[in-house]
Amino acid sequence: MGYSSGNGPISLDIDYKNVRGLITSRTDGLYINNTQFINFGSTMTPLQSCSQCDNGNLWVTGGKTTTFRNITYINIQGNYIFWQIWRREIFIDVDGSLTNPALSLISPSPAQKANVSITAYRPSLNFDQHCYRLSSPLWNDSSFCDSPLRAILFANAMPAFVFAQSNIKVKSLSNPY
Amino acid sequence: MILTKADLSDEPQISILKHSMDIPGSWAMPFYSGQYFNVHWKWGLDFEHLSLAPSRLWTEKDAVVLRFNYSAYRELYEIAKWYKKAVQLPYIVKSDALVDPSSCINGDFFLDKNSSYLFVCVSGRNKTIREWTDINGIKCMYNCPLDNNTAVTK
Repeated sequence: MGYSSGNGPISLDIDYKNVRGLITSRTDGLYINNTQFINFGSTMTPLQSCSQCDNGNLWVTGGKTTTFRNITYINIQGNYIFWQIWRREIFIDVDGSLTNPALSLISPSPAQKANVSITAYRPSLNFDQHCYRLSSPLWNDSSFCDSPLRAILFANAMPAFVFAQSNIKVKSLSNPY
Repeated sequence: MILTKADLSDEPQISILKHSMDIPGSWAMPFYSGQYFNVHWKWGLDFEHLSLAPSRLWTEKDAVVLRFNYSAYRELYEIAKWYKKAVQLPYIVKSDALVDPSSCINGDFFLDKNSSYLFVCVSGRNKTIREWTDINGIKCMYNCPLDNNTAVTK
């Protein structure tokens, strides 16, 4: 529940600014089932990823996956998702309920609406008719894809001192060569 | 093909501290199954070792092929699975043909020396829950160049 009808603060948008309904974990495997988000003002957001990942002592590498089923939205006046700082989390939508409000932003409407996933937009997820960019702030510039996205962790690159603090760069290939 | 910044997902390495309980010196991001991806580091760094860890959520339906290009000399790559806290020998036998995400199993790889490309399959097929793929780039093993300082005997 964002705010109770008739019981909200005088200045809802100011007093409840950046309030979140649910913040997902820093680990894999969280499962959210049968959840309603009700009464979220224009500066409130039902969903946020990666709890405390803006904390330099606690942040994690990324790719953490949360699964959603039977999600309902009632009176959402602002944005639906906020991707925390590194923007690498995956939300899997088993029955299409999590991402249903986003379908109106995709044209033509995707054939696959269930067992889909959403993550922060990245160029490596540009796949025509399979992954769609939701550039709207309502979805915090996300990619909606017609199947579950999967995470890969790259680690132990050696020589270690050479790769320390190096950026990894990923590009999708239309053909292998 | 000239790559621009708009073509690349650019993921910085995050300095993981011990109490975050995550993997230090690592990178992670989402991938869409059934596709080929090129992976490289800034300035064209060539690894001598790399570990790949697909999450435990990968299923038999999921697979991607990662392409690593390299410029340093590499006679071969030794690739093996890593689980139960040990490298699982023998090493994976390299494929004679380009690996295909529609059919490859986890750890399959193809080395194209002519193009300096290493293709590695990451898949939920033939994969245990917490399995890593261990990749070692071998500069030389059977065809090492002669030492220039080798003395010539009469």
